[in-house]
Amino acid sequence: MSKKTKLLITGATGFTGIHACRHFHQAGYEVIGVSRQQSVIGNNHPPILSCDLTNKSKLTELIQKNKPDKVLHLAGQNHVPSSWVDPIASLEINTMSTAYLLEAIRLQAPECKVLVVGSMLQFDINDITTLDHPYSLSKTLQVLVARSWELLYEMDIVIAKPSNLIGPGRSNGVCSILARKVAEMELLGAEKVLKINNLSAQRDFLDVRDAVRGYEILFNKSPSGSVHNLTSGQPRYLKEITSSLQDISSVDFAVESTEDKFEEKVIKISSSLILENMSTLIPFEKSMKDILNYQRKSLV
Amino acid sequence: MKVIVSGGAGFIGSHLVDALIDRGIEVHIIDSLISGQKGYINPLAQLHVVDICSEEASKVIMNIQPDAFYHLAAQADVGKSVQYPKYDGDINIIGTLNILEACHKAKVGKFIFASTSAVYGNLNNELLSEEEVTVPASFYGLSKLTAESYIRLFYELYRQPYTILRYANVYGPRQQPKGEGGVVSVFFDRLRKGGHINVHGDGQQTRDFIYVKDIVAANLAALESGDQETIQVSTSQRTSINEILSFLTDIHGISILREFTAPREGDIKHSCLCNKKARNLLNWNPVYTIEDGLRETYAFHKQLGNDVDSAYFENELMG
Repeated sequence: MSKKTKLLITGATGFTGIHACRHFHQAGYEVIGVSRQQSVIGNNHPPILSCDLTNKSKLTELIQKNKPDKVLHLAGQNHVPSSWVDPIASLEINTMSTAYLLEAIRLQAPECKVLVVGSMLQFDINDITTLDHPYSLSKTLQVLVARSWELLYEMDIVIAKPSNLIGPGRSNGVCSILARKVAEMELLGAEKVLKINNLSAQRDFLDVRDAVRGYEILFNKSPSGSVHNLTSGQPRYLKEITSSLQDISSVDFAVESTEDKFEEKVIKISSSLILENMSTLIPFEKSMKDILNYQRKSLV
Repeated sequence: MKVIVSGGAGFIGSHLVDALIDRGIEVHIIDSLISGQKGYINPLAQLHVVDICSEEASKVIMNIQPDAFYHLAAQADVGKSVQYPKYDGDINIIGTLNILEACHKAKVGKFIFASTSAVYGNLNNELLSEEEVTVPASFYGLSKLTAESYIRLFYELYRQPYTILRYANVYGPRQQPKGEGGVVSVFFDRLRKGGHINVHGDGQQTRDFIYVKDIVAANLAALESGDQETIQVSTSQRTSINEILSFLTDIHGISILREFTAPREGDIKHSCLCNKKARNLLNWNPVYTIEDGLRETYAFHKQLGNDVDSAYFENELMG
């Protein structure tokens, strides 16, 4: 009981990884962060080990040496445009490294509980015409791999499918990109115009810190083999981002869009397990404030 | 049967009132409502809003002439006692004395007193018995010990029957996140409102945590037994802070975030009270495991609803 749970987090230096390391560290877990590059994140942050997850022998050695009780698999290539440029890399990083990781855990730490973080951008495997990009292919196959190892080898594997995660930190998501441009207007005197493709497109945004708390719920409460959506349940128009930034920024700026085409988003709601155990989410306005503050700080 | 419970609107007192009423006993409450909550009061009990230090309190006791008097009203905040020793002494010593005199005059059949393990001070024994030397380390411990001495002398000089119950660390629904042993209620406060807790040392320090309903059961048993005895009410089990946090994570799903800070000078590492005497003399046994007690307390807080303000998120360091 008094022994700390050993939690290995892949993608530890990524946008979600940094928040996850901090949360689980403060929640009393023994956190081992894993990242491709050797990095130092600063004080009050658990150590980061370097390992390329496509390097099978190094990965096996890592699992053998650390024998984690739990693994949070966040690592991946998460940029849709990059997946068009190098689809094989997306498959290698998102699909195959998940297989390598699960296989290493099967051989070296079979009791370990694994949370594989997939994506909501899945295509329908019964209808190949629903496939939009190589990224979606890699993330759909990743979930299939995770489900297969769970079924074939009876491993303890849970799958999370978060929507668009936002929050302070190095994110390449639309909220961070727009907030960065506003911070540049405020601090660097950049042109006071915010350009955006489609103001009436909709997305579901979930604060990364809520997602991380959701991951802990899944570790503690979810049965093996289950797949869980994590969303705010409230799709927002992209123009809500720009107007939120206009409200909180110290500068006045114009918003220009190339098109304004209504695109209705199907509302996906979080799995009942998440809804039952997490009643309060960080308000969208609070997320946007924290994102803008982070972008301001990173400029100076 | 007729009883008076002082502090009947408080954390432990209100649970005791509920249990007495369940047994068909006529219950009167004396409570100043300074820390007691009106919402905790059983509607079948009769409330007298008076201060235990006042003349009115004596009059209530003389008028009612109860068969037994449970004296739970107190200043129970250790920190406050250190800051305001006179205030603490006025309530815990003079207030008790005022009540004792009135009970003696009203020929009350039994005086049952809520005391505390704080009377022992910073003893570092593995398992404390009632025979242990008492060296209070706070004015709260001292005022409770002094009240105990008055109670014993009232028996020697006036034959006023009594039972003194020394409680271990009590937790449960309705406990406020301050006062004695309130560490568990602080944890529940964080579960509802967010924010960090500070853990002094490594979190392996242990306490004897007892669920409020077991305390109530011991109080009921003291109506019929334990005359002229001082008895510890405890589980005789050690539970570490880390174990409680870990149980709460299991129940709630999400951990309370914690910061481990340097151990405080003079803090006791382990504290555990032997309950053999209570088992023998009161024919009582604690029935709640720490897990069951925490689950019931969690259900109580869950039903209060979530109260998450921005604290959790403000506390978060930015990446």
